Amino acid sequence: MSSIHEITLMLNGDPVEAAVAAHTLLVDFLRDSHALRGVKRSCDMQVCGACTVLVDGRPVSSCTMLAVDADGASVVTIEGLGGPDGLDPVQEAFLEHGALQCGFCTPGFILATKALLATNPSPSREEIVHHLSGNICRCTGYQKIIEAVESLAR
Amino acid sequence: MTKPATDTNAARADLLEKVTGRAVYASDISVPGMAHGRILRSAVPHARIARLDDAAASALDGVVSVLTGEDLPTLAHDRWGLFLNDRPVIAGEKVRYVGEPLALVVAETPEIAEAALDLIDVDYEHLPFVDDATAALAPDAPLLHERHESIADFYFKGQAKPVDGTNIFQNYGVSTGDVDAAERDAAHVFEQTYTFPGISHFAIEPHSVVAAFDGGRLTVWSGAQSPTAVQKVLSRVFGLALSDIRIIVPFVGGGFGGKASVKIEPLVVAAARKAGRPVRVALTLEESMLTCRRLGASITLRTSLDRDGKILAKRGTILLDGGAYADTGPAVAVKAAHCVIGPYDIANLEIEAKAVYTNTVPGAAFRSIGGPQAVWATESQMDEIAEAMSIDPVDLRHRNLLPRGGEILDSLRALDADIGEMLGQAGQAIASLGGGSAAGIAVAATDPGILPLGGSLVRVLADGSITVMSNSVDIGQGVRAVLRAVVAKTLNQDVGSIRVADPDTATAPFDWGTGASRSTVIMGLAVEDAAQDASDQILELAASIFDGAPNDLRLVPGGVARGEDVLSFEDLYHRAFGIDSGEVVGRAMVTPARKGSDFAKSPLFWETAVGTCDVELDEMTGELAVTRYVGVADIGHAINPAGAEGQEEGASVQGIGHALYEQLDYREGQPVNATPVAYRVPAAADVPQHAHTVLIENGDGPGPMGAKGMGEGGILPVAPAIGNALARRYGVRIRDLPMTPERIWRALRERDHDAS
Amino acid sequence: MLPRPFTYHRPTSLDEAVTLMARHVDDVSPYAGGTELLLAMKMHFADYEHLVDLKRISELRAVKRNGGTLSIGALATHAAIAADAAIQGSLPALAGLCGSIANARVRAAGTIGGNLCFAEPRADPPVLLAALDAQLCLISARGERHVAASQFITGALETVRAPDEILLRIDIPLTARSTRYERVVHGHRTVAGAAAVIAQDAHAAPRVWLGCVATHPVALPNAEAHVAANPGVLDNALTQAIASDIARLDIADDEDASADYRRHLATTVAIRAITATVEQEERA
Repeated sequence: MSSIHEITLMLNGDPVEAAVAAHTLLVDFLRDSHALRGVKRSCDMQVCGACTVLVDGRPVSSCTMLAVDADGASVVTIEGLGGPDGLDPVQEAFLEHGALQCGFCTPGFILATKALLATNPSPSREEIVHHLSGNICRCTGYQKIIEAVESLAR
Repeated sequence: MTKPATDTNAARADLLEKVTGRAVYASDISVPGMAHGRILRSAVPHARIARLDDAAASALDGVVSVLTGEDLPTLAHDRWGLFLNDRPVIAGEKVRYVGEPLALVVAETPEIAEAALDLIDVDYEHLPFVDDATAALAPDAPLLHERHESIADFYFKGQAKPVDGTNIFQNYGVSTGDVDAAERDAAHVFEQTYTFPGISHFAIEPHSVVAAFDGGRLTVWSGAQSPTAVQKVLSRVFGLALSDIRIIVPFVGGGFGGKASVKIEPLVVAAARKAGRPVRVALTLEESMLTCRRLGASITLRTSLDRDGKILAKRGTILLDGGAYADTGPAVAVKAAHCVIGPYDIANLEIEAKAVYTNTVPGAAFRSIGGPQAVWATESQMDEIAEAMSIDPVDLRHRNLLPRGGEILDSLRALDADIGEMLGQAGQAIASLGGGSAAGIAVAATDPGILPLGGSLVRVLADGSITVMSNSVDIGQGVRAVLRAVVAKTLNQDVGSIRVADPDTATAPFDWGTGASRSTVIMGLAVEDAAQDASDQILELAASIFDGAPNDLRLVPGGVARGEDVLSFEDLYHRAFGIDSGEVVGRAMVTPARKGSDFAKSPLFWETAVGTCDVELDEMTGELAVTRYVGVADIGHAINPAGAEGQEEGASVQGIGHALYEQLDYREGQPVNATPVAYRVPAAADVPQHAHTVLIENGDGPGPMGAKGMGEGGILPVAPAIGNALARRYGVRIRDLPMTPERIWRALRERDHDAS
Repeated sequence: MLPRPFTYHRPTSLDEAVTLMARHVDDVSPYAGGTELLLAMKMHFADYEHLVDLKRISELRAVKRNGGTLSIGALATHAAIAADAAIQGSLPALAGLCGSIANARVRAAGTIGGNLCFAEPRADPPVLLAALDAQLCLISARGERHVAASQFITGALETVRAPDEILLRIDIPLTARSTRYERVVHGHRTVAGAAAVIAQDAHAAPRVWLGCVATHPVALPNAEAHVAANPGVLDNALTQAIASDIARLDIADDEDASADYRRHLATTVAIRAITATVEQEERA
């Protein structure tokens, strides 16, 4: 049996309290306990980036992070960015540049981009490519994703 | 009456759902009472199952049921297939590849199911195995299937030609002219062998299925590209009426053929039936890599030319590695045989394509079935010939290209594109990217295996909103946007008022499936016809109200107009039906006999492509980078231009993956890199810094607005264009894909050794 | 792909952590970024009854410069090291390497200490830290001890860390005049990585280390001797010295590379690292 832990966190801006088993993964906590289905599970090995969420602004693979580690943190998923009526500029740019096809990797790419721009508001193409090379998209060929992020660089 | 949406995002409603994380995929489906399944997979390539003990697993608290081969007799049919009835719903007497499902544990939580897998004991009685296609042809090779049961016209036209007592499950030939005589007359004869490995689809969403019985009726949510194929196979396996099976397909996180035909649906449905509960099985990406892959190929070409570089004859021997189960492999062999000819004028042909079983992951459709394998061989050899004969490679192609209207084979439709012109456009485009002329080029034409059979409903609702019902699946290619655009144009309605419903076999008409670049043409025509049918009905209604002829009337956004008078749909229905409700349903079924179409001859259109590139090699490490790439495609008309461009870009980068990195590697029957970490697909850093796509639009396709199908052709020329650039710039020729740094390094050593 | 159940401890002080490690010594692992440990536990390659989370002990994150020594807390993440101004200034090779490990998510969560303690054969930082002659400080209920980074990793996934020991910090002497790490990465894995360090003190021996080719990082003594005897000279003899070092290593074929190709890459990255240090010297 795992130990059980009371955690409190800010989830997409709202305070959340929960009891979690030690071995519960953050991705399952978000998807199953909070119905945040925009957090996608794919490789389960930290290489694809589909399950990316922001923890205190940093991008992490929620498939390889314990829910208990989110205690005291602010967690942002794609649902916390913007809805259909008020898109985040990153969402807007992906839409505008056609930077997605099947869309399964898209939440991860958008959150990875948020993390990049938070620390580097005017990344060069090279920096964008370096930062996003940890996220896999099998559909687009990346060009339109890179263009979308370039359009956000100030 | 709804106001026509002015928000430009309305045209991209699906994309809006996706960027906000609200789009629902099969792996997001949850139904009340749902239990969770995990699969125990074979650890060995070929064995009899001597004993499978699931007692401890079944006894574990929280385990609902365990499906094993012992349950096969409870099924109406315990095996299935599209061309050959070769695949058991779950392994019965034996396993045929590492990764084959042996048991499916259903439990209250995924965690319990996973823990229960460890409690299942399997004793294997090992059998000799074969993990290589050439070895599978040997007279004493172990047989995967003792007998072959070919099924005709089941979901594909015609049937496979397996050879009894061998591993050969398809044997297809093309023969024209007199190759022997042409070879005798030839000034030059070139013979080379090229290989292409089995590669993984690596769609980012792994296969995911939820199955739920309600009495005798079954609902399945699956990320399936061919919902009606799934419906048909399930009806056979479980003895259910088609009308009792409902397949619903939400958004699909990438397909590329890996979710076409039928995959894990029969297995999951069998588990749900046994469990008496809805069951969800969501594979990991690693498991998806053990579910299907592209067929590997070894292709030997013997090409004869006269002294002027005109091809006189071509002999092709294609051997495809089909894995443990045939799936759509027989069709792959046919397409590879056609595609290996190339868009060239060759009077004498002897092409033979065989597909064989091996103890490896089953082969399956993958973006342009058989195409990349064939074009890798053909277009690499064209450059080898050009070099040997001291002819410029572009010139050699011009000397042999068929003109528009030329015939690759008598039995196939005449070529509907000018590849010579495409070559010129490719050359100009790459030069405009800077850095001089291109180093490598390749051309291709493929005949997509399109069955013209698919229908749709277009429902014009009372408030002017419109629902389109179709079983074409959005796998990321943007089919919903295309259908919406076609309906908007046909009905003269604002695109924002049109919604395309999720594919659902209970509500949308039959459609053969989403693949082979067919949806824009076939479903495009189906919704165009259905919209036209709705339009006719609406104008009929309006004519009676306006008391005039339908010809005086026209559709305007939100309603019907005569001159300056506009009647909203709501008012129209109110006056016609007596209440301000109701709807008009336009319906259409596109069939081979569709009026106004020439569907008698295959293909409905040619998918053509030219690729050209330049490369940069680190000669110390063998690492190759593509620095510039231009793809040219003749697509008739781009209904969704951004989407069309994205399809081409995505295809070219997938092609770079095939060319440089990807290979499902087997050692001693074990897949050694079938994990997302060990298997390398292209990342952002691997994309050419300078890339461009040229779309040729002459409005001459068979689809709506003159569109042709597209999205597959772009992958074809990539690998040979890169291989040809490598040969031209650095003097090394690689004939085996992928062109890994190690292979290139070895070739460089050989080059330097030969030079010294 | 779910970890098996375990008991999670979250000490907020070092004393508390040391006590927990001692109490559960039979089946415990320190837990930091989790990027390697959790993955191994999900795949059931590793299994522990107790995890002691060190992330709430803030002193373990500190990066300090004490005179001629750079001290990096074991819990400093790769991203933090890459972005640290002091490290960028005094050891750009380390900052640069940490900024390009794996991907942005792994860099944000993964720690330098975890990387060392996990001792994955394809990990880059251990190679550079060994070449820099870093000293590792470990603590347990028995007290502190110091181990050279070059002695710390003894094999694939094997270190001299005792089961109850916690890696506290990494002390790097800032005695190098030029430092370079060169590697070849195929996909997600480094296939060969080499570090070259030329000391400020002309009498101090240069250090050349190789990693990601065999089970753990190793020194290249013939290469070091050649560089010491012929500073700034890049000749065929250097290549031969490196090759002779690499010939002695036990390198097997694996799914990333055949042995002969890997030996060639190892030689190549070693030459490139040494060449880069020579170029740095010339610029300076």
